[in-house]
Amino acid sequence: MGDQQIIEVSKLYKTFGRTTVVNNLSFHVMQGDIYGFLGPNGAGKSTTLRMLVSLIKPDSGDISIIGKDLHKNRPEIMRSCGILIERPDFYKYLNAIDNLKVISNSGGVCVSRRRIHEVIEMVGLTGHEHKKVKTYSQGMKQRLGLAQALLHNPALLLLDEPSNGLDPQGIREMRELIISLNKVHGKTILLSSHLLYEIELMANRMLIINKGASVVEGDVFELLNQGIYRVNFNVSDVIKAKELLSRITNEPITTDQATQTITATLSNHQIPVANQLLVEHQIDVHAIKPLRALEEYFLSLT
Amino acid sequence: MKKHPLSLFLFFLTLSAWAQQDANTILTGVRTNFLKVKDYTADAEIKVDVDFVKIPIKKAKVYYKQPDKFRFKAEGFALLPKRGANLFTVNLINDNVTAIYIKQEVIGNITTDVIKVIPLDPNSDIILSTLWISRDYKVYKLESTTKNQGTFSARFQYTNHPNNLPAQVEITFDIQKAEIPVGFTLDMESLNKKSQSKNTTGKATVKYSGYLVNTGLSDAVFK
Amino acid sequence: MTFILTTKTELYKIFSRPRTYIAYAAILIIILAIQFAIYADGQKLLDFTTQNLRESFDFSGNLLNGYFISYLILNALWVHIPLLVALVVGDLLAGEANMGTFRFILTKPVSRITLCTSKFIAAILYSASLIILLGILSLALGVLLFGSGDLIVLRDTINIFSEDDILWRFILAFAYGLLGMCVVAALSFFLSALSDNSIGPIIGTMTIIIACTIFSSLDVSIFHYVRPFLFTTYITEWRSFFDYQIDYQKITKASLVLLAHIVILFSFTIYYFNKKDILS
Repeated sequence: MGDQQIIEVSKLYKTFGRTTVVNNLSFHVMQGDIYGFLGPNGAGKSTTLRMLVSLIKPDSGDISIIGKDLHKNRPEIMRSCGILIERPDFYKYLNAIDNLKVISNSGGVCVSRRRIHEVIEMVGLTGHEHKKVKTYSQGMKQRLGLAQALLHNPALLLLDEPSNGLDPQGIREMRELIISLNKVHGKTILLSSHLLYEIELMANRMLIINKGASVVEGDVFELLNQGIYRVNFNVSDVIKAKELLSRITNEPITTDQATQTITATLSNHQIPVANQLLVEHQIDVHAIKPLRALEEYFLSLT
Repeated sequence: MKKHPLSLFLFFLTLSAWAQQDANTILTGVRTNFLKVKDYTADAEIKVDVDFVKIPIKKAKVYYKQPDKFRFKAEGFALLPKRGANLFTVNLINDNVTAIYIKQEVIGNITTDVIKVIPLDPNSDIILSTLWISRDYKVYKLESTTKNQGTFSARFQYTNHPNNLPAQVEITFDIQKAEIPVGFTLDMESLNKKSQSKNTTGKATVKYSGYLVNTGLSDAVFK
Repeated sequence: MTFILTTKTELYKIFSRPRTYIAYAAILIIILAIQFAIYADGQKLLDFTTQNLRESFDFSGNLLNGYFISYLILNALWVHIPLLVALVVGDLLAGEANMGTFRFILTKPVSRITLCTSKFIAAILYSASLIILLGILSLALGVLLFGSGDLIVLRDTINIFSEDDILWRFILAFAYGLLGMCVVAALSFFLSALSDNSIGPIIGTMTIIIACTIFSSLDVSIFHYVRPFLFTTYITEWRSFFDYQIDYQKITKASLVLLAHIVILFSFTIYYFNKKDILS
C-alpha cells in the first residue's frame, strides 16, 4: 500500500438535536487501501460517510481527501471520488443509460456513450441497459449504483453496502470486482458493509466504530491475529480430545458428539500445538475450522 | 290714434297664422330638399366620446335609401348613435307633425328659424323636437326629447354640397352607464371601486365625405 | 460550460417526466373547452354585456373573434396556470429528495448553488413554455377558428381596440404574465427545498396564492397594510396593457415588486438548500 494519506478525518463531531451521532471520530485511509468501515446499526457509519461526501455538514472537525480540505476544495475532490451511499435510487422514468448520463451531466461531467457501456459491462448489466429502472430488482440497482460511481474513473471509491441486495453469486462478483479495481486499477476503496466475512476477505485495513466513536483502527490481519480464536476440531474421539486440549487451554471447551466436533478457544500459536497433541495420541483430526474470526472479533468489541 | 282691442287681437291672430304657415313652409322646404336625395353613399369618420366607452376613431361607409333605410359598415367594429347621425331618418320632416314657429336665432353667422315640432304619430319615440333651420332649408341644430331614452341633440355643419348633405354631425345624448359583471372579467379590482352615476351624457362626431348621391342603391346593401 | 450542461440536464429531466405533458395537455383541453363554450354561447354573452350600449348605438362588425376569446381565456386561467407551474416546479427539489437521487447528484463536482440555480433556470424556462403554449393556443387557434377583428375589453370602461392595436398588447401581457408565473415558480421552488415530498410544495403554493389573492382583493381595512407586500396584488397588472391610457409607471413598479419577490425567494432557497443536511 502507498504512503500517502488519501482520507484523513480528524475529531469529527455531529449531533442531530440532542443526539450525538459522531463523537470525536478520527481515522485515515492510505492510498491503495481497501478500507473496511464497520459498526453496529446506529453506530454513525452512514452519517460519517455522508459527511465525507458533503451531504451532511459536520459540527466540527476536519476532513481532508487527496490532501485537500473538503470544505475548501469540494468540486476538485469530488472529481476524484466515486460514491455509492446506502441504497441507490434512480430516476425511475429513465433507463440505465439515460440515468447514468443524467447523473453524470447533473454533476457537470460529460461522459461518452462508450464509457457508459464500459461500466455497464463491468458491473454485469449488459442486456438490461435499455430497460427503465423502475423494472430493476434491488440487486440490479445496486450494480447500477456502482456503475455510476465508476463512470468518471475516479481514484477513490466510497462504497456503502455495495453488496446489498445481491444474491451469493452477485456478492462474489462484486467482491471480485472491488478487489480487481484495487489490485489492477490501483483504486483506493473505503467500504462499509454488514457482511463481515466480505470485509475480512477484501479489506486490508479497517475501522470499527460504535456509538459514533472509534473503537479500533488498523491492519485487518494484525488486528485479527492479535486475538484469540474459537476453533472447531472435527475428530475421531471427542472425549479424549477434550481431555488433551484442556492441558493447553484453561478456556471452556465444548463438544458435540453428534457431529464429532470439539470447540476450543486458542491463540494463533496454540492451534498447531493442539493439532500435534491430538495426532500424537492417535486421534484422527479430520478438520480444523476457525469460527468467523472477524465476526468474533467484532462482537467482542461492540 | 286709439288702440282698438279688436285690432290688436286680429293683428296677433294674423301674425300667429302667418307664423304657423311659416313653420310649415319651412318644414316643407326642408322636406323638398330631402326628397331630392333618393339614396346616397358616403365615407364617414366616427368619433365616440362616452366616459365609460373607449373606442378609437373609426372609418365607415354609410348607405341611405328612401324612405328610411340606413346602414353603416366599418372596418372592424364601430358604434354609431342610433339617433341624430342621419337626419333623414329622424322622422320629423314629414307631414304628420305639428310645427310651431318660435323665433329667429343666429348660430355662428347663420340666421336660423327655430321651430318646435311635435310628432302626431302616437308610436313615435320622439315627444318633442326643436329644429334650427336656415333660410336655405338646412337644419343646423336639432334637439329632441324621447319617451324612453332621454334627450339628444345634433349640430350639423355643411360645406357646399348641392343636396345640402352635412359634412359633420355632432350628436349629444343621454346614455345609461353599462353595468359590467365582474364574473365576466374576473377583475377583482373592479369590485372595490365605487360605481359611478347611472346616467351620463355621451357625444359622437361623424364627419361625412365623398357623397355619391342617387346612384340607385340596391336593397341588398341594407340586409 | 458546466452551468449550461447542468441546466440542459435539468430541462431534460423535466421534459422526460409524464407530468410535464399532463400540464400541456391540461392547457390544451381547457382552452379547447373554453373556445367550444364561447363558440356555442359567446354571442349571448357579448350581447348581455353590451346591451346598454345597444339602446343608444347601432353596431357594425363582429366582436366575437379570436382576440376576445383569448382575453377571456387569460382571465379565466388565473388559478390553473399557477397550479400547472407548481405541479412541476414543486417537484424539482422535493422530488429528488423523495427519489433519493440527491445522494448521487449532490456528491458530484458541482456546487449546490450551481445545481440549484440550474434547476431554477429550468423552472423558469418550463414556465415560459407554458405561457408560450397558452399564447399560441389561445391566440393562434382562436384566430384560426373565430377570425380576427377588434377587441372589446371590459375593465372599468368598455375598451374597444382596433385590430392593428391588439397583438403588441397581448405580447406584453403575456410577457408580464410570465413574470408573474416566475414568482409562482420561485415560491414553489422555495417550498420544494423545504420538503422531501412534492405534494407539500404544490398544495402549499396554491394555498398561499389563494390566501394572498383574498387578502389582495377584499376591501377590508386590516388587509390594507399587507396588500403592498403581496405579489398577488401585482400579478394581475397585465390587464393594464388593455387600458387606453397605459400607466407604465404603475406597471414598472409592479414588475419591480415581482422581481424583488423572485430574488428574495430564490435567495432564501439557495441559503437554505446550501446549509441543509441531506438525510434522504
